[in-house]
Amino acid sequence: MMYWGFISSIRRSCSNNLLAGLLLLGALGCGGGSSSGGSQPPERPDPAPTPSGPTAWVWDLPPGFPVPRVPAGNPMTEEKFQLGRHLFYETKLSVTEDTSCSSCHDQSRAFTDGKPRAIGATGEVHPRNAQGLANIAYAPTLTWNNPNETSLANQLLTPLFGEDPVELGLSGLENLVFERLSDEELYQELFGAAFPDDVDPFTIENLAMAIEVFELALISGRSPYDRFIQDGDADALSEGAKRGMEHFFSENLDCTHCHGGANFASALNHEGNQSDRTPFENNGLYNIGGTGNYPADNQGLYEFSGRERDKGRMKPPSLRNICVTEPYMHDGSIATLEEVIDHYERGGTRTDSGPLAGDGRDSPNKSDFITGFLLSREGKADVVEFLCSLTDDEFLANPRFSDPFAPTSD
Amino acid sequence: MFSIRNFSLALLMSLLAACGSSSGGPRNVEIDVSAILGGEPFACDRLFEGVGDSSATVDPIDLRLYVSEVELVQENGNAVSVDLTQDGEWQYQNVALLDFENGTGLCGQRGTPETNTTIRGTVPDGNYTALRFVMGVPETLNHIDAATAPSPLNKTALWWNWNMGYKFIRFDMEVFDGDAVSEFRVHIGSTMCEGDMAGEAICANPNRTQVDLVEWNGGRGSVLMDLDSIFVGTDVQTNLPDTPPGCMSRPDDGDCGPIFGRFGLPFMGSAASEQKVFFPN
Repeated sequence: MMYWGFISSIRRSCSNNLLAGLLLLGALGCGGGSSSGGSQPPERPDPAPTPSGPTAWVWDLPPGFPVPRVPAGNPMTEEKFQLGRHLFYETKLSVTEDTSCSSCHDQSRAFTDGKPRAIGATGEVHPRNAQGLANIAYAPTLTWNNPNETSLANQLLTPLFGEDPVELGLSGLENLVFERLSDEELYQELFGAAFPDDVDPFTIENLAMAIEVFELALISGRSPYDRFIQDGDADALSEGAKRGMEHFFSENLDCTHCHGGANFASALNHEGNQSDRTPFENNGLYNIGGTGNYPADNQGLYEFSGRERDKGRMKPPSLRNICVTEPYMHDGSIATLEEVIDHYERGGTRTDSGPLAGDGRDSPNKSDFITGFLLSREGKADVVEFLCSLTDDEFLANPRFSDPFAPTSD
Repeated sequence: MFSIRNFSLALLMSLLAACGSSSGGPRNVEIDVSAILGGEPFACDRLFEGVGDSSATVDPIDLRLYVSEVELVQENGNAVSVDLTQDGEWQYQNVALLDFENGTGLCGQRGTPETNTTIRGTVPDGNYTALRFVMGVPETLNHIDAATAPSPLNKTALWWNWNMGYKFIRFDMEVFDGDAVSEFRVHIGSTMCEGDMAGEAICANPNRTQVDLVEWNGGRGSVLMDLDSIFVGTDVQTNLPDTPPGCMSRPDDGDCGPIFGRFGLPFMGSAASEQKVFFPN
């Protein structure tokens, strides 16, 4: 059975990465800041850390997960994580002062928003569906269709400052934002602790690096599936999920070409593998007029390459927590996982009428991996059950990643 | 328009820099750039009439642009680079930011009080008759890390992060059409960039306007940016459906066709031509 081979490959990559992980920790202990990081255990400090110098970072990785690749110029520290967490939930980082990163990236939905297309601070509708952030640390490229977005610290400048569409709407308002933040004692402490060497730590670079550290830390791999695979807990999966897993890893469905590896994604970037590039694929969602076209504002990789064959090519997302990230596809046009499976069973979606009419199954740009299959109604239900076994409830409720400004319930 | 242009010319002649005339070493050069809209000097916090083919009334929101690779050309055709003054604010390496908005009126949305409408630098002493420059950020600087970029490449209003570069110009305005108000934006920059952004990136559409001002007042003139000329062939009161307001350089946004043409830029198969926005003054 295919998935057993897949599992053993995870285990191999795990042991391979033990060394890389130790090397990373060593590097953090040596660099990372002016004062020595020391060898304190990875405490979970209070939201407002004490200004005692960078705290060495220790990854709390699920079994089978390789150590993520951390940008050389931005080593992980607890202080940056805490600053980044606050900034991620900070509504002062929007032109309207009522929207934050978390508005479109809600932890309880694996950092998606439940909307077909994201809506920015000023009400502009984004052409695309808000992507989940779980395990974004392992993604070689970050967004649906941009091959150049390989750095979180750079990518997040687009939602902050972009104008087409407006997301957080801060273009030209950087001075105002830092006035807002630096007026607060909380941020004086958080920025100071995260960047103790800086005379003025209130810079866009530091803001971006802190949010990057928070996002890199969003690792999800403690789902029932993981307990079944890694812990040998035979009861972690229902019988239906086990049958669904067989379908998922079968050559008939061929899901793993684009949704494979520890992250059920098309590529896995980590300490031991720094050059992996994300393939972009056309999955036959549209084929307007039989030309291979997608809607004008969503032409995929073509937007950057200009090559006809790249029309409609998008990054296959990770399937971890996919059960809670509906609706689906780059434009949120498919509401349920059942319908997603129908789409792949048919080998593409047909749009019968209207300006988008055309049969995606026949698109000249469609991926060779999407050839269609036949699966019984029960089989589809089993696949959905398996996909829902990838939901990591601990991740969705982990207080480490939660809104620090939310009123506490206890 | 004619009289206004003369007025503008007179105004600018009076602003001409006193370039050093000592023999030998480098001499200072200051090139003033002025902008007219609706036939009148550009300003924030006021209305302009007669803009575009439909003669619309508009209220400016922003006008900033990068110019680079500034050269003066001698009578014999030899060009020398203007060594831009590294002032830590408006000029960095061979790029200068021209900032016409002063943060008043609608320009307060993203603007700041500071303005800069002069290119400053030095050239070897000599007799110059023509001016060349590029509207845009050079390829070597266009894909640098914006978050750590020095001024003037640190202005988020000119960032274009999703395109891994900068807006070479942002010229935004509110447009009135009876009771209706819409926004019209002109954002031009490089698109369809691929490759290693820290190294050899290749942009299919560089979109840098080359400006050659041959009749240039004996090398001591200034430059007129004719904003009205940008909209010859464009009705700023209309926008093609399902496209961004105005022209934001999308290769498939038909609203960009005439505007790119005025900047001399190729678009959707049309060839590059001579720009018709910048004139000797």
